[in-house]
Parts: sequence; C-alpha cells; structure tokens
Amino acid sequence: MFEAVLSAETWRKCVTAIGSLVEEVPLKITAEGIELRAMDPSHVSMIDFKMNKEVFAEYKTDKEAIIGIDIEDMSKFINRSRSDDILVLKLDEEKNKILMVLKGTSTRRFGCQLIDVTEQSNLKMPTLNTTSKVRLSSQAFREGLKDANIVSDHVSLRADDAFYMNAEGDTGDIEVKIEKGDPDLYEIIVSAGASSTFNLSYLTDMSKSIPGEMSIEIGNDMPVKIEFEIEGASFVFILAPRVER
Amino acid sequence: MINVDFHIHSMYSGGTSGNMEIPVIAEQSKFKGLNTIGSGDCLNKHWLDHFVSSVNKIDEGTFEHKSGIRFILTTEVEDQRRVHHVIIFPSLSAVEEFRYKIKDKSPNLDTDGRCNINLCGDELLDIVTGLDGLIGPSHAFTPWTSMYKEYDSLEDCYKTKNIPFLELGLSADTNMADCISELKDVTFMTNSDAHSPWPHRIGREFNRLKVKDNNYDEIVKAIKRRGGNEFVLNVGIDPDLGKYHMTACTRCYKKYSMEKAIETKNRCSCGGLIKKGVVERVKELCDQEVTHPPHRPKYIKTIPLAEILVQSIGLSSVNAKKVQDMWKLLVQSFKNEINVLIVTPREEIEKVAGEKVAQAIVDFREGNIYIEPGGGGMYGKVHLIKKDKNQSSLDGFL
Repeated sequence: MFEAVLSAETWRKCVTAIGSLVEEVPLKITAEGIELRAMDPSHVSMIDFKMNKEVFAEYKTDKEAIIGIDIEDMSKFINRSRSDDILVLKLDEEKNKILMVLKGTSTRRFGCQLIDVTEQSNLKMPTLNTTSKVRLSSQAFREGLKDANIVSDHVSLRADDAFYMNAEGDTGDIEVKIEKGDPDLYEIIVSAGASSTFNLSYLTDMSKSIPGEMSIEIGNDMPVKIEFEIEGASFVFILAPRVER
Repeated sequence: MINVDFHIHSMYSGGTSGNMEIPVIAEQSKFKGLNTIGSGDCLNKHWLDHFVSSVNKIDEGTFEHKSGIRFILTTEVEDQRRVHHVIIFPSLSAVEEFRYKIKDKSPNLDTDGRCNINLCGDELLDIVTGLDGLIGPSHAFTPWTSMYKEYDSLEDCYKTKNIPFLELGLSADTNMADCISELKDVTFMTNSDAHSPWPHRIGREFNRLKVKDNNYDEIVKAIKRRGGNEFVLNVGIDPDLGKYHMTACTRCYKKYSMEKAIETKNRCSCGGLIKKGVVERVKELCDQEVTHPPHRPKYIKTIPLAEILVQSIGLSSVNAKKVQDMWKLLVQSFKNEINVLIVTPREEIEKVAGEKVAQAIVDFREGNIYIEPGGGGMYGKVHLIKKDKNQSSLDGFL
C-alpha cells in the first residue's frame, strides 16, 4: 500500500525537472519518502531526486517498493492539473498502475501504467573530485548559457577568483563573469581553480526547471554537480564533461 | 543459404529465462531471421522430453517446429577443468548413448541444462567422435570457463589439432582469432549462447551456411567444408560489446591495462577480482599477423536492433515496452531483424517507424556509433554518436 497527498503543482514541477533528462525511472518508495536515481540512455547525465515524507500533506506506505515510471506518460497526466489542485498518488499493485487523483472543482483520476526498469535500479553515484563550489541564481546561470549558445554548442565552467562561463566558436567568443559582490552570486568556495567543458543542450535542458538558487560543483575535466530544491524536494543533476580526444 | 545459431540454453540451465521453451524460442528465432537453431541442453532429460514433444522429426538429426524453424541436437557441457564445449549430436539415440556413457561422471546430468562431466577435453572428444558427433570449444577465449583460459593450444586440451569448429564467443571476432596460427583449419562459429529468447539475446550471433538442404547432414558438411558446403558468413555482435572483451574488475567493472592488473596482483581498488579480457588473452596467444585462410567467411559486426532502438527512442532498457513494440513493428513489417538492420532502405523504415528510428539504423549502418567496451562481466554499451564526439560518459566516473 502506498498513498501520498501533495500539491499537484509541486508534483508537476518535479516531474518536469526529472523529464528534462530521463524518460523512464525507477521510483523508490520507502518509509522516509520517495526517491529516484537514473541516467539518460547515453549515460552522459544523471539525476538523483528525493522527496521526504515531510513534504507531503499525507504520506502512508507499509513496505518499500521500486516502481517503474514512464515520465513522459506521467507528464501528460499531471500537465492536465490546475494550479490549485490537490494530488493523491496511490499505488495499485494489482493493476500494476500508479493512480493520480486530482482533486479540485471536480475529482479526476488517471491510471498510469508502470513499466519494467530493473536494469536501472542499483545505480551508484559517480565519484567526483570537485574543487570548487558556487551558489548562484539559476536565472543568471540560464542567461549565461543563452549567451554561450550564441557562439558555440558547448560551454566551459570555471571557478577561480570568480565564476566564469566561457564559450568559443567560429563567429566569436563570450565570457560571462559572476564575482563576489554581484547580487547573483551568493557564495564561492575554491580550494583549487577548476575548469570543465559541457554540452550546452544538456545544461540548458537541466537548468530550465531550476527555481531560485542553485549550487554548482566543478573540478578539472570532471562531471559537474548541480543541486537545487523544488518546494522541499531535493535534486542533484550530474553531467559528464566534454574531453578533447 | 540458411542462418543457424548452434548454441542456446534451455530453462533448465542456471541463470536462464523461464521463457526458454521451444515454442517461444521458435517464434523469436523466426523474427530474428534464423532458419535453424541448436536445441541446447539436449542431455537434460526434462528438456529433451519437452523438445521431442514440441517438434516433428525430419530425419535422425533434424527436427522441425510447426513454425518452420528447424532444430538440431546440441548441448554445452563443462568438463572437469571448467572448460566449456559445444557438442552436436547426429541423433536422439546418440544423445541417449552419450548420456549412458557419462552418467556416472556427471553429478547434475538431469538437474542442470549445462551439465558438468568429470572428464577432460580429449576424453569427451573420444566419446563424441565415437558417436559420430562433433565437439569444439565454447566461447574459446573468455576468462572463466573457456578452453584458452585453461590451455595454450587445441592440442593441450583435446590431444589433437583436428577439431572441426571453435565458437568465437561474443567478445572475439575473426580478426582476433586469425592471429593464432593453429586455428587456420578450424571453422569459426558465431553463436548467441542465449539464456533468454528476447530479440537482443537469441540469434544475436549466428552463422550463414551454404547447404543443399536444411538438415543435419548438410550442416555437418558445412562445418567440415565438404561437398561444396561451407560457412559463408559469421555474423556477430561487435566484440567490444562482449562482457569479457577488456580486462576489468568483476565487482565494479573498472577497466585495467594488463600492466596495472599485474601490478595490483589482479585486485581492484574496490577489493574485487580483476579478470583478464579476451583482448589480452588473444594477444598472449597471437603468433602471427592477422591471416585469414581462404575458407574463412566474412565476419559482419552487428548490434541487436533493440539496442539501437533504446538509443533512438531515448529509453534506458531493451525491455521497455516502447522498444519491444517498435521492434515487433519493424520485424513484422520487414520479415526479420536482419532485413531491418542491413537490407531495408531508409525511406521504407522511416514510413513505418519514423525519422528518428530510421536515422539511428542508418547511423549504425554507417558506423556512426560509439561502443563503450565491456569487461569484467558487464556488456559493452552502444551510444549513437550525435553532434559531439568529445562527449564523455559518466560510466568512467562510477
């Protein structure tokens, strides 16, 4: 038995963020809340998501379970919600479905078929030797990505005396510098200067759903780790770097 | 011409799918484009009973399921030095005779599909040839249970070089094996060693044979290259995809150079055991430049269609319903998987499956894929090369 109640809008935002990287995920239901970890099919990016039971208005489960969710299917259902709807999530083990009941001016029930995702259910987190951590506004980060996209399809993230986003292409080069004292930079911790280059389309997709504040950890030719929260749910995005071969 | 997969396992072997039953195997083999398949596990009486009740006898060594798929009697056994051999039998009576001769030597004849036999390779060869059957090493270069993990030559194992065939295994191909001069007269087989009947397993490797008829005698002539019969193609998955291709840790799958593995005494930093990859073992055995004898057929490297669909549809698993549905749609539209992978024009695939899938299949045909090599027991991974060839994956950081 699993039943949880929360704001439909919160769930919609979370599903959108997850769906920016992966389409099928193993969702783990525990006594403490729900969580998932999944990689995209190319194994370039990973998402780690946790929503503790405290985030829910109600949360009940009598056993641990891992269920396979097709995020695209779930998005279609949850995108039909209205902003003030209450969502009830229920596991129907007999029919192998997760039920999504939207309660607002009417009650609407969607049954989302579960899928088999056994191959993804034991993913480890990558080992990251990052040397710098930056806390900044997600809006500033998105703007930097848009700037970089003018000249290239990849961007270098660098932390030193400030946080830099650099891109270079046939038509020119761009540098975005966000330094201490700028209202968009909340914190920068650098134990050693670090720089890695990343595919812009992945970063752009990842960053679309980040509200407010985010943190970025980088190393040299290391995956980038991006952390943020959506209304109490925690997200970690990890993206592998481009490496000159 | 017939397409043959000589080596599969039944539901009675360890680690196999409960769906490994003749009707399912036959149906999936047909989708795959196979004409004939080895029965697998024919020494196990439970499997043999199921087999006999599921097929019609065409001649002593040839059987046919109502789907039209033909079977010959084959098994894999493990000898007393943990070496695996594929055996092909000419008749049910030869299977019975073999069972009788080894029953005191096998502790699990009827409890495992792939039984253990407390005899050496040469002793097995004596019994098999005495029954007019054929025997050769299974997945000859893999690190746990192959002939070349135990011996340095065919003669060391069988006390003769005159072995009719050798199964390359998923982690090796003709270019690798033809660096070993003692194999010049041996027919190479590419078989699936499938433990489940699904499209990314059964027939993932197969052989195309030139024969006058689809029966046991003609197939044996092709193995022995007699009467104009021969193997005309070895079709195998890219050896990089094999799970023992590279030297790697069997616990965390981290890859190692041989020098580093020796330096760490084959212990990974995680504490796991490092297993020598097929690439390294072949290097050790190599005593000539790649020299293909005139009889050696072309080796076509392929990738299961389902793996390509996973990438093109953007899902994580070959078992995903959308991947399975698309696979069925394609093979039903173009008769079998081989046609989809190699023959059907892009425009026709696009009409049925859409632009994304058609482009992915063309990318595969044109070599626009990147394979992250397997090792330590983990299969390699297929990545379609998109715009960015310098993009690394997270696998190297796990």
